[in-house]
Amino acid sequence: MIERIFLYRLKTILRDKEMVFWTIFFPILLASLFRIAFANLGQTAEIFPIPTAVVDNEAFQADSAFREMLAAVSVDSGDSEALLDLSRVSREEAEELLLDGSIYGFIVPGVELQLIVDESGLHQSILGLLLDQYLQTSSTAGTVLSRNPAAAEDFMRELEQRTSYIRTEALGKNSPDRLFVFYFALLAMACFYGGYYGLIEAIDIQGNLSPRAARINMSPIHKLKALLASSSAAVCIHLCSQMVLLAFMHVILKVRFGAQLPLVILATLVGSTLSIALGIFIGTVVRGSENFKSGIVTAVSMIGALFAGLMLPELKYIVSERFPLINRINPVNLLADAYYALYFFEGFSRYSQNLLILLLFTVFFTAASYFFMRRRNYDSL
Amino acid sequence: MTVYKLSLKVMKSNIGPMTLFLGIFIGISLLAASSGGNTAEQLFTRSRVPIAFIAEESSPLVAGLRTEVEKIAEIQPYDDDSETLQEAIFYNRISHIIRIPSGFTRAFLSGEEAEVITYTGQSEGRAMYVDLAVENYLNTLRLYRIFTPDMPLEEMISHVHRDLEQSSEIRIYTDTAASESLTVDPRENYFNYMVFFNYQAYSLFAILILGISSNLLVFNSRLIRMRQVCSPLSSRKQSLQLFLANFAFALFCWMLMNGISLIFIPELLGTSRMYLLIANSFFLCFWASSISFFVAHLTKSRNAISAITNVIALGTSFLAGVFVPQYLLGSAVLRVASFTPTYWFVLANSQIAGAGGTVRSFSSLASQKDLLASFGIQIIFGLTFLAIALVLRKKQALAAA
Repeated sequence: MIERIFLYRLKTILRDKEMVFWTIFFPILLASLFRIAFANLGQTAEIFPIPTAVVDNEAFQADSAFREMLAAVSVDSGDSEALLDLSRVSREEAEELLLDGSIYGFIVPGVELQLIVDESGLHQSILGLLLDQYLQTSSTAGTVLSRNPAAAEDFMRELEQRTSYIRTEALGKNSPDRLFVFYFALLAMACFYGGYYGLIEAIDIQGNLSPRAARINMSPIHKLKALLASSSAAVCIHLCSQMVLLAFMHVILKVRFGAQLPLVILATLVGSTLSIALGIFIGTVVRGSENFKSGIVTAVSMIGALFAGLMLPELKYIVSERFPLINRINPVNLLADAYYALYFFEGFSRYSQNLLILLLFTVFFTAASYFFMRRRNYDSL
Repeated sequence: MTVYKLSLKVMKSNIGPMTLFLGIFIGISLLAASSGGNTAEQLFTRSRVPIAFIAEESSPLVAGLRTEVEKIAEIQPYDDDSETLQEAIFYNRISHIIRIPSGFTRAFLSGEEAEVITYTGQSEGRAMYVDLAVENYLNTLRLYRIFTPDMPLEEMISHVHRDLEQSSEIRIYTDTAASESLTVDPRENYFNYMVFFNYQAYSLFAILILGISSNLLVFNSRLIRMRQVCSPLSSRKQSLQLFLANFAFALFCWMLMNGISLIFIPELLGTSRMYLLIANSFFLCFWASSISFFVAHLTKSRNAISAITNVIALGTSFLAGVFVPQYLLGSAVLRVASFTPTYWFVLANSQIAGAGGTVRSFSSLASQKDLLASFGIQIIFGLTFLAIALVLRKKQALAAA
């Protein structure tokens, strides 16, 4: 009997092809879009060279050190990684260039070195830094050479041999990465789309909600057995779709899961089961139309994913710091956090803690749903 | 207007979930706007980043380094405990850790290899400035050590501090030729408004797809379609009335969203750019309802709607620079994104706010033309999708019959 229900549930679910298709492909599509959109993030290649102008005034002509510095960092030096695309123009021309948007700013040499921009931004900050650095080095040169005039040549040579005193190390297993907060939140959100499968299970097992359920209620099977059999079918299908997503992320997008793939799959299994239990819970306990219940499932997964950092990684931290309880019970965040803990932390305490809470939720939702639907009798169906 | 009235009736029956979604999405927009605006933008600005400074030894050199770092970073009191530090990095409480290993001062002064160890959190861009400050301090000190070896260390350090205080003057160019200082940028506020309005490209768009698709689900069932075909009302009139009813719903959502934004950001009232931002949001409302009307004809499964909503609203938002500023996205991505109306909506917002790195200040005539172009393209997108949806509807109606 149980196998029969299980098998027929499998068939029934797979018949809603549109839903199966979208639950598998929406996270794959979104993950690919992330990848494309963020491919460039953190790479500075497209920022340089920065179109800039310098006003060719008397002060500029008089300051040979400044001219040499600018020449060394501009495209004309032949350096393929040059910082500036520099044009030497008059003040009026520079203003025109700035207004028509062909440069980010122009430099006015003089007693005070000025940078004129028409808005603040990344490019402008870099130009400012470049000029600051020049002024700072000149100041050092002034002090050093007044005490040790013979060192002029050596000084220039040492200047070029700027030493790097910084060694960057990873604190956890991997360096934290905003992109991974997105990926893990997406994975968790996709997992909680299992709620829709759960919802269908709830509707198809309560006699007053669908003709199919009315028929099942005629059979002499124990409600809990029927519920477990049919929801295992839903878990199976949903887990398969999650595995497709995991494989896609792992193989094609090269998302690093911290090498413990079995633990990632375990977390996904727990998340899948919980999401279906949650869907059944909403389908049984909430009173209202199917549309309304489906709205609640959407709301839970959407708000959950939002607080887990899907739209804005910072939100995860803000919520976790200011309202810690919310993210301690937000199932989407717990799952995303479990993935992230595997990626970041060496130990497993955080991961297992998250999984434990998820399991407790699963037991609670299943038990609560069962108590709501057990021993229901219908006068007429 | 029978179809129009019926459609409104269907919407009324959906009022529960729709109120829920409106609440959620308005909440999302407000949260995003209040969480410090566009955080991706802040990544690259020279704001004071929270960091931890762990020194395993104390010396005038280390104290000097600390002073220099403190100029651009907020040093948080953290002890050298790797678990606490990991957690702080994990929660983004600090975005950088600087560790001075013991023996650093001696190695540095004797010219041996000396290294400061840093750990970077998520805000790599901002941490870049901290690293730069460390490198500048040590490299300048190196020059003094090499060329003025007789100078006492304390004097060297005070020279280094003085050298590093040198900075260029950055001025904002204004049309009146009188330049104002960059430190008080009046446009900074517009920036936060822009972020808030940008988020509508996700929130308003998402609620319109969800809402309009569920409304039309009722009309798209085969039996009802067949009944409609029998009616003496021409199918074109039916479709237009249907769109009109859904556009009324869209307008309601739009008014609610903008109304609430004015309540929560009262500073926006009365500013000249408010009208432009709201006009742009109206264009968004138009093309978003056209696209939703189109999408509604693609699916028959209620549970698939939410997945489709996410792909379209969230996907285009990521691609077109709603969550991350457009100039950080790279030109190839932006070229693809320019095939979505979201791109033009976001571009128009930044043109209005006069920020974003690729656009000029609003005052110049050229940018007003650009703005009109962005508006125009959005309208064309809206009309195109509406036309496609109407054709699709006609075809489906014929197929049903």
